[in-house]
Amino acid sequence: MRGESLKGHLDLLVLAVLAEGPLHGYAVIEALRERSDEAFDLPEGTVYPVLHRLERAGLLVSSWQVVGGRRRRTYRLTDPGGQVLETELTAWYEFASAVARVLRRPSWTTT
Amino acid sequence: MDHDLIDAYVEALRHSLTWRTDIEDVVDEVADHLRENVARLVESGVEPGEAQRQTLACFGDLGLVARSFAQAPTGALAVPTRTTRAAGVVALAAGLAWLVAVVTGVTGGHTELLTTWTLPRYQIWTAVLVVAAGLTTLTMAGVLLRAGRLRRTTGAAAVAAGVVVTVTLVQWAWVVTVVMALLGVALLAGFRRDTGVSDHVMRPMRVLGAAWPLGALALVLANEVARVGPVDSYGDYQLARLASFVICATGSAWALAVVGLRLRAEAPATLDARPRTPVGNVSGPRS
Repeated sequence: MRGESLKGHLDLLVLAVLAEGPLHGYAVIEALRERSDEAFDLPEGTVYPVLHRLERAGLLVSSWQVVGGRRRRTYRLTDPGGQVLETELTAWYEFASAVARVLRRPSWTTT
Repeated sequence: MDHDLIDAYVEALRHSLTWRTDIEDVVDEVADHLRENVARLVESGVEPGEAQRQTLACFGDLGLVARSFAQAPTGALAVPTRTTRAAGVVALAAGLAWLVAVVTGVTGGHTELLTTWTLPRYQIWTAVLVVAAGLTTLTMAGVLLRAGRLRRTTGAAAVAAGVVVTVTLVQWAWVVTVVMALLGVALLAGFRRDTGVSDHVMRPMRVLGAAWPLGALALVLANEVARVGPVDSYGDYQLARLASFVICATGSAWALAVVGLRLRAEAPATLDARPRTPVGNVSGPRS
């Protein structure tokens, strides 16, 4: 799946990944790839601006550690971020469910 | 290895994003990602040079990544340009115009509290106000452009409100604080929520936006409730009118001067410049 298809959904996906615990950017991208069974094929570098934007919006908070001599930034979901995730998830499941009902293959197409 | 593609990529990214105040954090974060991936590939048996090429291919073309860092939530580019630097000069001129407006307003242009009010003085003061409001509107348009919001509804509406305020002042200069409150509200609406622009620029812009509505509120309260000082022939309390104007105009002059200096200090972005290394167009299989 190309990056264009993910536009508009990436915020929700990143929040969902970070709902399971703090991660650094590399691990967030790795989780996105693994949990989508490698379906999400977007340039990895374009995920960082999303993380920064979510932090500016107060949905994430970051902290720095030194790991292996390199500075590493770790992101954590904030309480407002968790609330936004819950709201967006509910909206997403309602939307996906409605789309699935509309697209359900009619019986006559399989005969 | 005698040629480190990762270092070249990171330095090229730094060069493309020089205007960001958090550039060192961005560069360190990207470098950490790239080094981590290279290390994992090398651990799995990939030759170091090939590991770097594969890592950069997955991370993305330099131009694409730099642009993604430069995009506002609206999708528009939010970067310093020659135009936004020019807006810095306009902001400085606007700040100066507000100071001149204070001087001409105090010396008989706005009220007769300190010196005699005359029609020519009022007309000169009005002309200065119109120039100040017009330059302030242009500055606002420049900062909206910098934030990638000029073409959004709220951004365009804020600029339109600025034009309306500027024209209105030609006839209604005597209620400048109330008229300017509309521009302040429009400015706050245009810059609400995250703009992606440094707080160094946004904080004074928000001070500018808040000053006039608060000044108008103080004017109404002072005129209708406190009722202190001499009354003019229209029944208005001159101290309230002059004090609210002087405080708001002086605050605006300060805010615009700060915005102007900071817009001028930002080097125009060079997002279209291609790197001098092959890192912008490497390709390779995912690990």
